[in-house]
Amino acid sequence: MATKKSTKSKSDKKRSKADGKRKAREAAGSLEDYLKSAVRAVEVADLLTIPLTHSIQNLLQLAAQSLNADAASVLVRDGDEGGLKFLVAMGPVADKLMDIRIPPGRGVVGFVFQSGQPMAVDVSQDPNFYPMVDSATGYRTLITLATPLRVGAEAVGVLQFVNRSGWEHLPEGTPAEAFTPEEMEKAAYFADAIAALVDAHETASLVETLFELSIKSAGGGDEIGNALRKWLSEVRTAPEHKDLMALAISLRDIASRGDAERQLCREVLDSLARYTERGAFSTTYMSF
Amino acid sequence: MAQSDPAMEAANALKDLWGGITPDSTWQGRTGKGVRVAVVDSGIDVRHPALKDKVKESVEAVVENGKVVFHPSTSGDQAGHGTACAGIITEVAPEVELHSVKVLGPNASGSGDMFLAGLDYAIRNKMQVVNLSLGTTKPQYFGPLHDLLDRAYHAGCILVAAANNLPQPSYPSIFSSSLVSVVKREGGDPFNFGYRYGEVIELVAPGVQVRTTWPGGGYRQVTGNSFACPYIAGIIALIMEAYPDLTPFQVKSILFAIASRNKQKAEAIPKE
Repeated sequence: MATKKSTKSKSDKKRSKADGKRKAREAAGSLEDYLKSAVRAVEVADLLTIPLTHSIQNLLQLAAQSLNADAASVLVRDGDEGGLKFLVAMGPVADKLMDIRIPPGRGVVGFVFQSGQPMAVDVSQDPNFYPMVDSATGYRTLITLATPLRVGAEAVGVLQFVNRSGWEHLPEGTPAEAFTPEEMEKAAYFADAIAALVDAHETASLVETLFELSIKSAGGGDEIGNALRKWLSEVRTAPEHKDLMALAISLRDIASRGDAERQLCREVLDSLARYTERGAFSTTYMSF
Repeated sequence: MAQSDPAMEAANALKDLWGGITPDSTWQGRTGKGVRVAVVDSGIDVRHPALKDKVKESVEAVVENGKVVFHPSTSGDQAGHGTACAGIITEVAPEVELHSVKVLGPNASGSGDMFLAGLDYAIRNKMQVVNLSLGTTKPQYFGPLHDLLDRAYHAGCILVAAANNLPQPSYPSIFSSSLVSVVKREGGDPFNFGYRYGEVIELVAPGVQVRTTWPGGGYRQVTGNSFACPYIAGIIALIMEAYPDLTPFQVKSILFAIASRNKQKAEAIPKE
């Protein structure tokens, strides 16, 4: 009886070992799934947001030239309370603007965002005007024109122009040439085009955010979740990332051409993998 | 004896009908004294030297238990828009009683719900003139705003709304039958306003590079339909001081008559 019990115990141990292995395989599988999702999310977000940001920059540049503005920026929603942040900016202090947040309903841009009404303001005759953004950047706003970015009836941001080109060379006390109603109309046309891009940019960013949230909720505070977050943050900052993404896109393209192409691709990659196992190639990029 | 022309007779009769309505008979010497004017906007800087003692009441929309309610406001105007509108109204009608109904700002979501609640507050509190340099383009507010406008009309509350600056209809400015809608033009005397009968937005008033009050005690030059609207609100306040019982359609008739006179005067000036 005792022997039987002992045998049973051995088989239990075997089963438990097998279960452990299966669980480990499952865990590895889910880890692999996470990785795949991570790569896909980063790929999608980057592939979508980077060209969109470039297009917004180009349009903004064109708009600023058309209005003869010294500086221009695109502000987008920051949270759900009506706050704004800079998505793209051009001009002498563009870099400094990127960290600034506009609280809900503050200043000309805050109002334009909340009300959906464009507005031009000339402060050149008021030496006491020193708004929050100017105090943070050291720039001096004389005139500004802000118009809402709207998709349908929904406000998605604000397009702002500040000062005329070459304003700093004018003699002190020279009145600024304010933005005109015609320029306000022109700005509205640029705003229409930029708003569509901003909307697409928001959607792409949402993919990234949703992925991060899914990692957070699935991984929680455990080891896998922490490792994934660390890995993801490394992926984003790694210089190799772009190369690997380009490789991933090429593979996807080849794989979509047919079974023979997929098979050939796999064989080439397997050969490459065997070759790199010899230590000819190493990177910390994919390591946790 | 020459036969009389019936068309000419009708035109003369019309002239006589409106002949009594002149700036002298409507606003000359008036200051808007005691007329209750609500500014539904981003608040008013009550400490501004030009507005001090002119703001009788200042309330702010907040959401409590899912409902928009109004509490006394001490937060001023963080955007400047409401203060700018108030400055223009008091430039035309310096002794009006201003009521600031704040529906935009740090504590406001900027939603249509707050805007509607602000308008409702102004009507319930028997404002005689309401300046709405705001609007909404969201179709879901079309019906509720229409109801509010009807309520205002029957309460004798005159609503003055700015047209949308963008090529898109905004409510309530397009409800031109029951309110006074205003679009901007460059320069000129605010009393020399125009009337575009048959257009969706009927009144035309200065709204380009207008100098007005700004939070913090200063002044700004501003451009937008938002700033044409308070000129007309101020002029209506002058008319309401002279004739406090006027109904909205009577006020529109007076504005139409005087704008026609302005146009005739402008046409009589020989062109170079």
